[in-house]
Amino acid sequence: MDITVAQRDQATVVSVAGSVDALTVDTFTEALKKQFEQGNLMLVADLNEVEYMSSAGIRALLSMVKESRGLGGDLLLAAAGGGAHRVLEMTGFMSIVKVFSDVDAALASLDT
Amino acid sequence: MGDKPEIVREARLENLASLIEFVEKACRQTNAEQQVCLDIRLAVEEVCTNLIRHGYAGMEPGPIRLNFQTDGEKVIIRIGDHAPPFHPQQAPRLKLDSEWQKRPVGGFGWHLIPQVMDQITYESDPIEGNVLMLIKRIRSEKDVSQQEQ
Repeated sequence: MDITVAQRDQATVVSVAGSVDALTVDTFTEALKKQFEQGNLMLVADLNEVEYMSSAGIRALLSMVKESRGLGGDLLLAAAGGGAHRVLEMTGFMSIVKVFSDVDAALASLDT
Repeated sequence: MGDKPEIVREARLENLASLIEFVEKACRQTNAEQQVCLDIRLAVEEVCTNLIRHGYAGMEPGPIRLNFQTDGEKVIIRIGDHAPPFHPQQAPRLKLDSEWQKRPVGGFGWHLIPQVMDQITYESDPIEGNVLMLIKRIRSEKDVSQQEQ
């Protein structure tokens, strides 16, 4: 799993590639938590390059959504298709989290 | 398949990678589509992780026995363990219509497994242990009928 972080005007974008599963989820969670610790509470997780996600990834995302909203921020997702989108749908995640096709669409939603 | 279609590992998180690697490699050898192999990997990861984290909780980790078989049309994976019996029907149901604040951070595994497998059976024997059987078609009925013509 590869993680890159980019600061944009509207939010911090955390891009993930590869697998988010029981073996890698701690790295993913730590990357998001680090942003909270630095005061970056508005996050976009770009999951478009995630080829595989298990329930470990879903559990981490839900936990981070709760944490960010509890701190006054939010965690938006960019996931148009692929492994992450499928599992997000199967676990009913689409109704509780804002999911966009790409990062630009997620960031644009914060402009309004 | 040339390789022995079975692996046995102690139910510890550090052994999860080898269990997943075994099933991924075995699936690739069936020429199944990538999505089929990802679904099989998902189900096996969820079952094994549950055994490691919950099945053997409070006791010395016992074995996870993973057996992979295929007849060319479907894959049959048997996952054996000696943890206390846990029938999949005992798994709590997720409430997908609840608000985000009320969603429990867990319970997703047994919500996903039936969605990616075609058939699931479970047997528990005091001596032989528990055996969960996961069945997944690797070719659609359409593919099969086209080849028969």
